[in-house]
Parts: sequence; structure tokens; C-alpha cells
Amino acid sequence: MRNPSRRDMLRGLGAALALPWMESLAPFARAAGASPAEAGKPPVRMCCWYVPNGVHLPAWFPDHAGALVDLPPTLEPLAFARDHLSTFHGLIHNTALTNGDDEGCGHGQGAASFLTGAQAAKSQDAVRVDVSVDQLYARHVGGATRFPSLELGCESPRSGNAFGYSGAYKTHISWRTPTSPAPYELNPKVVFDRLFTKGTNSLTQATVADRDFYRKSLIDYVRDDADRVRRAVSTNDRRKLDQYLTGVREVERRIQQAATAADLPGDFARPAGVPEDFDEHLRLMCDLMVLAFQTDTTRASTFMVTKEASDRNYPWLGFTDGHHETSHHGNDPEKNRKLRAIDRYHVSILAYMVEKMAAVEEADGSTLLDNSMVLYGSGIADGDRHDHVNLPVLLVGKGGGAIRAGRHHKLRAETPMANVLLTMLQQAGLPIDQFGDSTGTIPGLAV
Amino acid sequence: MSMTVGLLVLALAGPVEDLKSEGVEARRAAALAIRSVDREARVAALPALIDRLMTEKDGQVRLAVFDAVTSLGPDAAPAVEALAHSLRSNFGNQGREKSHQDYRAALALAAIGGPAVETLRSLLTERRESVRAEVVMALGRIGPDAAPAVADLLPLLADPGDRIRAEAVRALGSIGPASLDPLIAACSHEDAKVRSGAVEALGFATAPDPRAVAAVIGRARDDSPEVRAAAIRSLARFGEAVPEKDALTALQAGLRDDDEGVRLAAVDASIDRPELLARSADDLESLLTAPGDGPARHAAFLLGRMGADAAPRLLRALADDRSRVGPIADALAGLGLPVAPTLVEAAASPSPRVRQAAVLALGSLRPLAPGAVEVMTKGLRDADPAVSAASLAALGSLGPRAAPAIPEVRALLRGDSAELRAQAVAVLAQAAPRDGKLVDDLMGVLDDPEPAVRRPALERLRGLGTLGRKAIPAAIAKLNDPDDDVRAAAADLLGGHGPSAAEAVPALTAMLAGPSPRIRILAAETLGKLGRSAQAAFDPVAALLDSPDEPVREAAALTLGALGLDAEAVRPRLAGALRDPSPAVRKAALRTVQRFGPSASYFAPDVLLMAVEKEDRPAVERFLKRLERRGPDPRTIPELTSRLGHDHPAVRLLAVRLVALAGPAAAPALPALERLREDPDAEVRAQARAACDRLKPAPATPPGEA
Repeated sequence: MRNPSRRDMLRGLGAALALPWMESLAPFARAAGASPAEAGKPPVRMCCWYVPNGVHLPAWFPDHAGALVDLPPTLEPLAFARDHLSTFHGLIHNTALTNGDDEGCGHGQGAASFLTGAQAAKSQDAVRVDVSVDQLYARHVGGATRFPSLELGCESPRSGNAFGYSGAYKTHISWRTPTSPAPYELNPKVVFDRLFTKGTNSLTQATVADRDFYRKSLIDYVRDDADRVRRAVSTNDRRKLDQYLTGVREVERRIQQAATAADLPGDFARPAGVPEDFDEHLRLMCDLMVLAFQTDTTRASTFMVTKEASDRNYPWLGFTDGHHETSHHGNDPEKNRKLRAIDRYHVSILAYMVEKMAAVEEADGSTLLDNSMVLYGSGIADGDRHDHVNLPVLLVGKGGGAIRAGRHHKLRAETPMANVLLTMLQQAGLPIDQFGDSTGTIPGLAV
Repeated sequence: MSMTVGLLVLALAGPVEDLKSEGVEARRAAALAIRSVDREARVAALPALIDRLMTEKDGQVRLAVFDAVTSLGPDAAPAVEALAHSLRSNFGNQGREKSHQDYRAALALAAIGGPAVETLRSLLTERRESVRAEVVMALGRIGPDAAPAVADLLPLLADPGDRIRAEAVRALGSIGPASLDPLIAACSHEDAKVRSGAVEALGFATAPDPRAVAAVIGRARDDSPEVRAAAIRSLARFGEAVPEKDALTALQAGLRDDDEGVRLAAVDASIDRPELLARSADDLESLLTAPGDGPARHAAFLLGRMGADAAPRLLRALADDRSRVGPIADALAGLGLPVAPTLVEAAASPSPRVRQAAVLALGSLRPLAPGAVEVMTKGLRDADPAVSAASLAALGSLGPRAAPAIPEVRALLRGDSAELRAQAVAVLAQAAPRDGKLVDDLMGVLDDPEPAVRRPALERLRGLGTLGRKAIPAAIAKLNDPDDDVRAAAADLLGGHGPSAAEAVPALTAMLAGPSPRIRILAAETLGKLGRSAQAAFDPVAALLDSPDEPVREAAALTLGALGLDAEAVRPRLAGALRDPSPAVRKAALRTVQRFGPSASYFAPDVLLMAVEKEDRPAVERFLKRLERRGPDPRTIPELTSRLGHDHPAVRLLAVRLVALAGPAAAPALPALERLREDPDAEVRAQARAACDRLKPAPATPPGEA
């Protein structure tokens, strides 16, 4: 039998399950002249999260520059990952300001400039901004993976125009070209099928439909191949493979559960596979991103938790006020309390994904988290004022050892957020010295 | 002209010409195009860019021009005066947009380098602080070529503005050799601010000088904590240039310092020097039992960054009662999964402090250690209350992963400690939000003797949404709870169920006559959330509009619009609220009117009267704008006609405009409108004439002229 390699997949009728890294595969990969990723040196993954409406800033920023000894309340869920965490004070997105246009609400502009560092053109019809950081990275490394990038979101991407700006700016953070936003996928089932299904022909589609109807597992389809790999790898890898397959099955089970749950009342038709429970929706998307990174199916991902200016509510936090409405706090202590609860909740979901990433062991003994750069933040700082100064932004991960993490960076005034994006790109290996409106890199962030 | 330059000029002719265009979009496109062309072309376009900097007002064009100029570096020297002009002038941009343009202009000057230094020095006297700060930044970026500016920058170490001072520190450091002697001298300045700035600036030098290192080491013992902290930061930047013994001494002293800023500087510096950190392990361990929270907490933090070998030191310190359990537990968790077996073992220690720290650390450790939930669950039954509380707190951080512990957590709901009972409520809700027994568990503590338990139970039930519907009767009973917060939580729960909680209407109606304004507001707001099902409460809610308390009247006004009643029923009661002395109440009443959609026009005669108040006029005008398409309600024409004779011109004016929208139905208003042709207010007269012309029937056409 031919020795398996990282590029091998567990295949079955219409199914294709990429393998995670396993120590038994590295020698074969090296002998076959594989790329560093296949031979054992983990690639850098880039993941960018967006939350709308800004945050309650006093609970976001650490008090002191330097080592992250004390985390502010909103960031406490990330305490376990503080050595992988970088926080910033003083970042601005000047390109989210109107800069000469007569007016703008700041929501669309904030989201549009978040990963591009560019000014959104004021137009309701022809959108124009610039290529985003994830797409630039995807172009750089995307050829090595099955999908150049993955764009996910958890709220319907419909949004109206406002103040002369297209609604598309509020619903997209990822831009393939200056005029082509990359739409995000909302349905975890579609993402799952895309990640683990081979081909798009009618036979494949029929197989997926058959799998859905009988609620069979993808694992059943690849069982023969999985057994073949099991026989060829070490005991430790066998355990790792079983853990991985169990993890995939667990995600699949939760997606199947969402696909059969009763639809919501009223006019809102929830696509099969989109969980009714928003919390579960968020967590499933996190699991899918981790699986995609773990199997090196993609190295670039964006996640728009909700669209900019979203007024979604979070009843499980004990109140039903909409997020956007709450963000216009007017310094009302009660509204600020609720805003902090929403902010902390969003960060706890990030922590959920970060923990999963910390549990994935990579070829060199490092973790997926060690080899990632997870950017998280909002294009608006204070939702009440719609400003873009002192943006709430953090970075989790060490970018394969290229990021000096564990610190709070107090930056000089006027530091463009594009400087963070440029630092990320450079540390991920892109030979560039300018991105968006960057004026340099972040001092002390690069190793 | 060479052929290449000729081609460049030809290719650029369009964008350069467009830079002068009247249309801002054309100028923006031109500026972006020039920014993107190759260097030679940008050099060729420099004169046009300079011209633009002198006059352009659009922010996007200016930013693109700044970028294009910056990218030319020293070749953009002819632009120095235009850039200085940009810093001195405001081209119409305000606030942040202006200050960011200052930054980009200063960056362009910095990129030009030496030829820009004298101009930058001249800008140091500019009035605006942000401009001066950017100028200092630019001088720093220029580096050694900015040496002539050292004399200007040194006094800025004492500048009252933190921003300028911080820029001066960096700039003096970056200029290098020329600033070395003055900075060393300033390290002994009598003003601590100047000393700390000088010490910090020396640390920014790209190549540390031994004299600078010596001066900074000396200042690590300065009387001022600000200077000591700056010294530690600079020593860290010097890195290997500092003799190891001196570095170690400074760090260890810094970690024992009473001042938090100094300690944090030492913590930060220590993380960068793992070899020094390892040599400090004994010292750090001794600090775990030092007096004062700060040094112990910071020592624990650093030990938590030293790897699994630090675990015994941390656990050992717990034997001493002077040590603090919380920071040590955090540090143990920071050591990561390799110490998980040690922690599991420690959770069975005879020492309650060790057990407490172990369960807390296991609760914070991620990924979750195998066996951790079992250890925490066992800890719930620990004889020591601190350990059981720690176990419950640790489980609380696990969310649904704490599900195996639910039976034991449930048992705590009946325990002696109110604090544990309240915490158990939270843990149960987090661990098993979909557990069928959760509602019963939470309802079971609604009669707990402590409000601190009853209130979170109601809040958690509220968070369960429709799953918590079973608790409605219990929540209604809690509307009579002796504790205000519990009553508020009960009302909030009921409001969350909307019309499904209709059975709460009598109890909520009774609360409208409650003892405190807060309770009356709460009752009104909750009734509003129940919608149509609370219509029976209309009269008592409306009665609150006469309350002496403004927030009560405001809540009542809002609730009247939420009960799904007809405009005809509500208007008589709401009319007074639209003329309430409180702007907040009037605003709430107008919001209520707007909730009636098309029927809102029935309120127009009352809304018009709000125009008496100048601050309400914009809102009234917006309200009338919405009526433009449909016109006023025909039933209100007589009242609107009477408003034409109102004392206040603003009311008359708006009444004229509204009546004019009614078309033939406004015929009865014509005499009153005619009278307004002679109104003392010119605008009223003009509008009245226009309205009359519009409403008067066209004169009959004489026969034969058809």
C-alpha cells in the first residue's frame, strides 16, 4: 500500500475529509519533496473577526503598557491565552472618517476600512474600497490549500444604504478586489459540506442529499479509508486521528440537529443547518474554522460575528435590548453595563475558538494557536459617538513565532490600524512595506 | 526632453490636469492615480502636487497627495514649504481629520529628511499642540540629521503636555550622538520629569553608549518612581549592553518597589530576559509572602511564566498563610497543561489553601485538563467552605462542560451559604441551559430568604425565554417581594414574555399605585411590554400622567402607545403630556404619537401646540413632514382652524402649512386663513397667501372662453 501523506484525504462516495497533521506522515512528506507545511513546519493561519458598534472602551483597554499582568473585564475570558494576546491602544482608522464627504454615519465606513485601511467610496451603487488583508494573504498562500480563504458570518447580510453609502459596506469586511466584496457564508451546513465534500457534480449532490435524508455521518463514508490510515500510522497518531474524527462527527451531529430543528415562527425562514440558537451558531462557525485550519484546508478566514450596525439582541445575557441601540449609551450606566455584557460575551466566543486552537497539536509540537494570527475588533471605537479613534483591536496568536505576544501596546496618537495589518502581513511572510494607509509597523510586535 | 520623460509627461498629462478639475471625484481619482504610478512619474508630477497642497480643501485628495509626496523621500524637497503651509493652515477639515492631515504632512517632511529640518524647527512655535507634537515626531524620524534641533527639543522634556513630552523623548533618543551629552546631563536635572524623560530617551538610542548605560543604571535608584521606572525600561531596551549583574540588581529591586509603575516596568523587562528571570526564581518565591498585594501578585505572575519547574515554588508558598491564594492559582494556571497532573494531585492535599488554589487553577487552565471536572465536583463537597466556593467558581467558568457536576451543584441550592446558593444558580444556568430541570431548580429558590439568591434566579429564568414560561405565576407572586430589585427582576421576566404573561396584568396594575416611583415606572413599562393584553390598565396608566415625578409621567406616556389602543381613545389622555413642562415627557409623548403610524395625524392639533417650545420645533416639523403625503385627518380640521388663531406665530405657521395640505376639506378654514394675510409675522403671511391661493376654488370660466 502507498504511504499516506498530509495531502491525502479520507475519501468515500462524495466525501473528502482532509487529514490533520500526524507525526507518521512527516517523513513520507519530506521524502516526497513536500512543502514545509506538509513536511512538518506548520503554516501561518490568519483569521480576522469583526464585531459591530464599537465597545465600552473603559472596560476594554488594559491600564498599563507592557506585560499583560491584569486584563480588563471585557478581555478576562482570554486570560488563559494572555501569553498569546496582544492588545493596542491608540489605533485609528482615518480612512473611516468622511475626509471631505459631507456626511456619513461611520458604520459602513468603519467595517469597510477595518481590514483594508482604505477609504470607502461614497456611493450607493458602485462600491469601491481596496483588497483586504485576508485576501492579500490568501493570494500569497492560497494556492497551497484547497480553499484560498473562508468567509463566515452569523447574521443575514442584508443591509440598507445609509447616508449615501452602500449597505454592502456594513456587511463585508473581506474584499477580493477594490470593487468585489467577498460575501460570507451564513449556514454552517453549507460550510461543512464545502469543507468535506468532494466535487459538485450531480452524483456528489445526490450523495449529500442521501446523507442528509438518512442522517448518516460523513465518517461512515470514509470509514474504509480511515481504517487504512489507522493501520499505517503510529499509536499516538491513531489516537490523534480518532480524536479528529470524533471532533468532525460532533460538529456534524450539531449541524444535523440544527437542520431538523423547528423553524422560527413568523416570516423568517431559517435555512436548514442554521441553528436557532445564536450562541450555538457562533460556536459551530468557530469549530468549522478550526477544522479548516487544522486540516490546512485554508489559511485565511474572516468572521463577521454580526453585521455593522446590527441591532441583534442577546436575551440569554438577561436583557433584550438591541446591540446597536445599546451602543448609543449616552453614558447611561445601565446601557454601559449591558454593552459590557455583550462585549464580554463576544470575547468569550473568541476564547472558545482560541481554546480549540490551543488544543490542536501541530507538526513541530507547537499548537495551531502558536501558528495563527487571530485579529479581533471593531471598526468603530465608541458606538455612541461613531468615532474611529482608539479602536478596540486585539491579536491572538504568535504567527508561527513571528509575533511577540503577551503585551499591551500603548501607541502614539494617529497610529493607523493599517500598521497592525502591515505587521501581520510582513510577519506572515509577505514582502511588502505598505498596506492601506499604513505609515510603518507596530514597534515591538514583530519578533 | 528624453523619450522616457516625454512618455511620462504624456501619461501623466491626464491626471495632472484632472488635479485641477472642479469635480472633487475627478481630483480624487487623479490624486490616487498619481500616487500609484512609478517613481519617475511621481517626481515629474511633484510641481502639480505642490500646487494642490497650497489650495486643495478635500481631505481625500490631500491624503493621497501627502502619500505621493512622502513616497518620494528626499526627492520631494521642493515640497517643504507647501507641507509647512499645510501644517500652518486649516483647509476646512475639522477635529480628527485635520489632526490626521497634520500627521501625514509631518511624515512627508520627515521623509524628506535633512532639507526639512530648519522648516520643522520653525514650526515648533506653532500655536496648536497637535502640530507641535507632529513636528517633534518628524524631527525624531529624521534621526541624526536633525541634530541642529537638539537644543529646541531638550526643553520639551519639561513640556506640560504629555504628548509633546513623549514625542520629545523619542525624538532625542532617535537623533543619537548629538543628544547624548545633553541627555546624560539632564539625567541629573532637579525636575524629576526632565530626569525621567532623559533616562527614557537614552533608551531609544539605536546604539547604546556605555556612558548612557552607566547614567541609566545610576537612575534605577532615583528618588522618583517615575525615573526608576524609566530607568528599568531603558535598561530593558539596552538589552545585552547592560552588565548582567547590574540588570539583575535593577530588576530585583524593581520587583520589590512600592510603586506599581516601577514593578510593572520590572515585570515587563524580566519577561524579555528569561535567563535573568530564572536567576530571580528564589527572590520571586520569597516575594510571594511579602507584605502588600502588589509585589506578591507580580512575583506570582512572573513565576507563572517560568514553566512547569515553578509549580513546586508556587505550591510551597501556599503553606505560608501570608501568601495570596488567588494570584498563585492564576500563576499555576499560567504554567499550562504540563502541570495539570500536579494540580490534580494538589487538589487532594491536606492543606485547604493548596486544595483551593489547585481547583481554581484547574478551572482556569485551557484546554481543560483531563479529570479537572471530577476534581472540582469533588471539591464542592470539601469540608472547607473556601475550597467548595473555589470549586464552584471554577466550575462556573466552564460553561456546558460543567454539566457532569450538576447534581452536586443542585444540592448547593439548599446549602447554608447564601453566597454559594447565588453562585450555584449562575453555574446551573451556564452549565445546563437546556436542562429540563433547570426551570424547576430556579423556581425552587424564588422563596430563598436572601434577595441576592431570588434576584439572579429570576434573571436566569428571564434568560431562558419561552422555556421559562412555566415561571410566570411564580414571577407574578414575586411582584410583591419586599426587595425592590427582586420585584424589578420579576417584572422584567414578565415583560420578556409579552402578551403570554397577560395573567400578570392585575398584579402589575396594582403596582401602578406602588409606594415608590421606581415601582410605578417598572409596572407601567412592563404593562407596555404586555401590549394589547394590558389594555385594561389604560386608565390607571393614564392617571400616572398627573404624577409629580417626571420619570413616572414619561413612562406612562410611552406605555399609552404600547397597549394597542385606537388613537381616539388615547388622544384625550395624551394631549396634556404633549404640553408637559418636562421636555423628556413631551418627547416621550411624541414618540407615542408616532407609534400610531397613519393614525398619528389625529394627534396633529395637539402636536402643533408643542411648537410653542423652541426646542420642540424641529421634532414637530419632522412630524408634519410625515403627514405631507396623506394630509391631516379631516376630523381635525376644525381644531386646526382654531390653531390658526393661536397666539404663537410658530403654531400659526405650522397650522397654515398643515391646513393647506387638506385640500377641499379645508374650505371651512379659508376665512381664518384670509385673516392671516395680515398677520404680524411675515412668514405666516406668506404661507397664508399661498394656502389661500391653493385652497380657493378656481374662478368659473366665462361661457365661450372654454
